[in-house]
Amino acid sequence: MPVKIQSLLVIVILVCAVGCENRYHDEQFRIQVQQLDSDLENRWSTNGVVVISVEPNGPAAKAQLEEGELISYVVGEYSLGRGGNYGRAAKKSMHEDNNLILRLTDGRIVRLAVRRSGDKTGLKVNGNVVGEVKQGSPASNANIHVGDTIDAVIDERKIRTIDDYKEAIEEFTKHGSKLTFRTTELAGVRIAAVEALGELGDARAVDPLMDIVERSGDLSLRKPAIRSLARLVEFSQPSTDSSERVQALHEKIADGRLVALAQKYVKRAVEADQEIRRTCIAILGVLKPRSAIEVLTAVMEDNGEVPGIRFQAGLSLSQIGTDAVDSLIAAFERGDANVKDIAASALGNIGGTRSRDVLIDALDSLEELTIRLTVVDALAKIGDAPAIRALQSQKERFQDESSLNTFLNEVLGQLEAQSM
Amino acid sequence: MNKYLKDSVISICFAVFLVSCGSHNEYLSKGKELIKSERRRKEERAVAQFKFAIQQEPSNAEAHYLLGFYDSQEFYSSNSSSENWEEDWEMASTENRGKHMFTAYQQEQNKYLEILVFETLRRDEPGVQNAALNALKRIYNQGDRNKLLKSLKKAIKSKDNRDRHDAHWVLAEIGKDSPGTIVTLLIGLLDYKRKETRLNAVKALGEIGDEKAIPELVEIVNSGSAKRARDRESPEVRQLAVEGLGKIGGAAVKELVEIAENKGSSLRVDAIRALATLGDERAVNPLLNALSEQGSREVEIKF
Repeated sequence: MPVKIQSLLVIVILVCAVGCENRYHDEQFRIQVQQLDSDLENRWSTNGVVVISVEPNGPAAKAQLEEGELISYVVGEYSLGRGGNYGRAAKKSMHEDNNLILRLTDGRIVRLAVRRSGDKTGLKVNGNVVGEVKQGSPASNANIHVGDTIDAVIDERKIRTIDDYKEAIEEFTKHGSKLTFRTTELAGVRIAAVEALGELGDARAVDPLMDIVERSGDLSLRKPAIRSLARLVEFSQPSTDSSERVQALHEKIADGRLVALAQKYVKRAVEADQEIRRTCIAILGVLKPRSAIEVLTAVMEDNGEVPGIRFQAGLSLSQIGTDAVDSLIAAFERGDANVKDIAASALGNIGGTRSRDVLIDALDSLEELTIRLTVVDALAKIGDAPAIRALQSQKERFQDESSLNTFLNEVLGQLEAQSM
Repeated sequence: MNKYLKDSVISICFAVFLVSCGSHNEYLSKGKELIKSERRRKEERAVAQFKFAIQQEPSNAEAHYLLGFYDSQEFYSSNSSSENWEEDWEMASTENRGKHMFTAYQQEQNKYLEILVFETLRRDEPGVQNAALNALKRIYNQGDRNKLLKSLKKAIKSKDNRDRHDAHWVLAEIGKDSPGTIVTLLIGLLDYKRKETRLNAVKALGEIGDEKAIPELVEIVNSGSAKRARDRESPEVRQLAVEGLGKIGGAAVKELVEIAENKGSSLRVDAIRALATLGDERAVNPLLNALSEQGSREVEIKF
């Protein structure tokens, strides 16, 4: 009796151990898969089994399936060409999702969807030839005609557990010579990685992030990639942290590739996304390359560009500083009211005698009140003696223009307070 | 509406408590009357009465407790010239109030331990909560530590979420100073049947940031791939366990990297975010590898 109990216990333990295994070694395809994390499906609307390892030279390796891929569907076919049974194949295929997918001899793939389990597709098939198509049925809506021949019924199996995977493989390997794994990218991982790389301040991240901006077609990755590059630019600036990592990052950023990329992607003709263009402009403002003056001036003067981005371009030009003064003066003199407004503000930020003199001259000639206000503000920022004198003479000249006069009083009052 | 109801219930309970604590100390009685009254600056005036009560009777537990409860720094002006005077001022006030609450405990241990853990901590005023925490820390260091831990354990296992939350906070704060005992206690709670208790224990372990908790937190995270549902910890607790590893910091980078690399884990994103805040160089290569992971596609296999 004790021996029997012992044997029973061993069996129970063995069954439990086998049943509780969350991995499965698929000998046929020579891969190992793992049960997916329990809450992944709820959280990311993702399901499947994860490929843990792929043996070299096995069928999966030859198909270039990679470790870490998430198999969400196994898609197999029931061939009708060699005496396959259409009715049985259709029943199996529709068992889970009420969808019937057919591959016709003419190459078409048609999907017939019925509302409920047991509803008819409106199709009668003799052997593999369509014998009847009911009017108004899913089959007639899918443009299937009498006489069409069906090569195979396709069955898509959603994979949630290892048991689902085992069943699907067992089923499909009985009926054909190939099957398809449909894999799903785990949402959020690459985006989180891109964002994290911006925070780690490491030079090794610069090239991969630039590659994403340049080559990826996925805007949800490109946007965080350019933001992360902007973060790395901030980290690379001289600061109290003079660690080797910051030094390496500084050298990497200084190699010019990022500047070239930013100069390329500030253009509307190249980049459709506003956030990417804006971030590129901000990057140029921090790095202050002289080579960016032309392209930033062009953005500032681009009437088709969003006002905020044009203003950002002016701001970046003012960060570049004295080197940008010529370009800003030229833009101020030839530009329309919007350009004058942005350029005057930038010249005020940069300061210097040339900026000041241009702004003082403009005070007398400008017609539009809004631009005069911007010029007054710019001169107040410069705030040297000639600028103050010019503002005072404007105050006397425009005693009757209440808004300009009020503003002049305000800025002159502030300047006076600062000088005390 | 709920907040008002809660406050009203607490105030009524507190008033009942005050009335039930009969005392022959005249100043104490006056102070308690003032608290119950609608008079202007009643708390400030009551505090003065409680101080007189203590002068008259230095071992009066109730007077000490009430002084600790009401003696807000707002009643005084600081003469400190320090740059951080506000912080220093608040700290000194908390110390002082905590000391009075602790004195009350010293006089009547069981009664005031219960009050501190299950009533005082529940008050919404941070000044009162901090004073209670200060008193509980004193009990941990100078009083009956075992009874205190028993009481906090009872609170973190409670059905009431406020008790659980307060207990997690006190355990985490005490644990930051002396992790040894507290971390062991919290680890012991990770198998407790109530999910919310486990959740608070995990939260406290993260806040303490002691390396000893790393294997336990990792086990919780990894339980998500267990085949049997009963072996899997709930997603919220597992997510907090990853956050906890992030709070532990440098010592947990290896484990966070492993989670970030585990393609079958739903917590990869959480682990990556935790790694982002830690700024550790060891995270760079795994993150770069994650960038080159395959997108969704179809792979045809012939056999």
